[in-house]
Parts: sequence; C-alpha cells; structure tokens
Amino acid sequence: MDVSYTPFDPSIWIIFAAFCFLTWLIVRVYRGKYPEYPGKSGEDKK
Amino acid sequence: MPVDVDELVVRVADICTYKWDMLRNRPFAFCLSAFAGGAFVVFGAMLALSVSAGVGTNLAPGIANLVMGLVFAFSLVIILFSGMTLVTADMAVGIIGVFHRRISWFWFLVGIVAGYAGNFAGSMFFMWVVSKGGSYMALPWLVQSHAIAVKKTGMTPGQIFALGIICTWTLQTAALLYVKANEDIAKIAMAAYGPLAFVAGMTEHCIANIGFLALPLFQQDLFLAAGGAAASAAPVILHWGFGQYGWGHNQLYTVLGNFIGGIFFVGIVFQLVSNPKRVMALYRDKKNFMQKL
Repeated sequence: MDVSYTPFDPSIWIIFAAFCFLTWLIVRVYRGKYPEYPGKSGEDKK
Repeated sequence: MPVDVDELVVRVADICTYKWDMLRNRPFAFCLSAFAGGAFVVFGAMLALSVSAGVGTNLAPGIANLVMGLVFAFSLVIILFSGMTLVTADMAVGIIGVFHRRISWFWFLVGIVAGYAGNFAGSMFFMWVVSKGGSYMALPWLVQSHAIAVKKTGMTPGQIFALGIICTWTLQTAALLYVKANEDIAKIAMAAYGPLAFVAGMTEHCIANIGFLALPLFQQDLFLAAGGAAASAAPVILHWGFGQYGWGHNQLYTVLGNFIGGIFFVGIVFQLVSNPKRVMALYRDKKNFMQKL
C-alpha cells in the first residue's frame, strides 16, 4: 500500500474541512430553529 | 443524583463563561492554568512509562496498555478537581458555549489556540525535566519510551487521525459526565474513566503525545549510546519534523482528530440531545451565569 507521510494528506484535510463546515452549519440551523435560544444568558455576545 | 442532560448543558455553558472570562480578563491566569494542565497530563505519561517498561507481550499483549491506563487515569481527575485548563476539554465545553451564545466563534478559536499553547509549554517543560531524571536514563525505560514513540509516529496519517477522534470521544464524554455528577466519588470515577479509556484503548491525545514523544527525542542520544538501538529489531531515528517517525507528523493528525472527537461526537451530541424548551425554561429562573470547575 502506498502511504505518503506528508502534513498535507488531502483526504484528512477534506474530512476536517467538511467537519468544520458541518459544525458551523449545525449551529446555524439550530439558532435558526430556536432564535431565542437559550434566552437570557447574562453574558455579552462578542 | 446526577443532573439531567438539560441541566448539564447549562452547567457546561456556565463553565465556558468562567473559562473564557478568565481568558479575556485574566489572560496570565489562563495561560498559567493551561501550563499546569499540560503538565498534569504528562504526570500520567511519566507514570505510564514508568510502569510499562519491560512488561512482556508474551504475558498478554494488552497488559501493558492496562497498567498504563490505570496509572494515567488520575490525570484528568487532578485537572478537573484543580480547575486547570485542558484544551481538549475546552473543545467540548466551548462548542456548547457557542450554542448558548456565551462566546463567539472567534473567541472559541482564541481559547483553543491559547489553551493548546499553554498545554504545549507545560507538557514539554515537564518532560524536559523528566528527561534529566536519572531513573528514566536506565535502558528499560529508554527502550520503552522509544518504542512508544516509534509506534505513535510510525502510523499513517489516517490511522493517527482515527485514533485521535476516538481519544477525545471517550475522554470528553468522561469530562462531561464529571460535570453531570454531583458527588465527589462519582466525579472521580467519571474523570478517571476518560484517561483509562484513551490510554488503555491505544488512542492518540495531542497533549499526552507532546510528552510521550518529546521524552524519547530529548533522550535519543542516550538511547543510542546505551545500545538501545541494538535491542530493537529495526532501530528507528526519531525526529521533530512532519515525516514518518516525526513528532510533528503525529501531533498534526492527532490535533485534527481530537477536534472532531471532542466537538462533533461529544459537545454537539450532548447539546442536540438536550431539550431546548426545557433549557430555555431553566434560563428563565437563572441568576448566576458563571461556574468554576
């Protein structure tokens, strides 16, 4: 099996990028579905 | 009785507020807590190395993993009980904080980078001190630390990445169950389960690996001079770079895997399992929005 030991393994970076996008999307959809969530938070939103 | 998952995510959001408040308003304290957290993790790595040297695979291939996991188990207990910072725990805590609008994406990333930097410094410094300790200059420990490093750095990117995901999946599940528990004994049991699972499970944790891999690199000259290479069937020279048998090679793909395991399979799962209407009801009566670990 041909294995490359490089820091730029394309399949890993594609999976990681997909994960980042999916995480962002889940948060966005969740906030869209529950716009008032979680209510009074007592913190700023910087 | 432990709290339910709805109360759990609110508790975790409060912990997130405390952590990131410390980062914003007391950055030196945050960095110091990350330094200590990194060192606490490799207390476990040192103990794991100490007890596993010379454990024969002819006894049973998994025995060394078990003894390593058993002595590593208390690392997360001392981190969580002392309230220090561990970047992989902050991944799961931070994403729940993002859901609860306690922190922005920007601050989430700043916290992760700052936590990693502090953990890196603590882990590396502690292992440098260990490398100067005479006990670990004896051949059985030189051979064992080298063998652990060869195994960890010799894997392919995909193998390291997969084990990185599994690591934080188990470890952060334990960390959130620590928060869920109310009694000290239950908290200790939950926190101990995480490192036991990830070490005995032969997975990859970025901060533990900083130390696991740094020690044999610090001691490589001693290892070669002591004839350790002759004890191995195929002596391997370790290095700090990104190629095979490199510290950077293992660290890069471990960090990427740890991100997914902690954020996607723990933080997001617990958040989505919680009932948003009940969480909002909990917030209506809430007065305090900050909780220290």
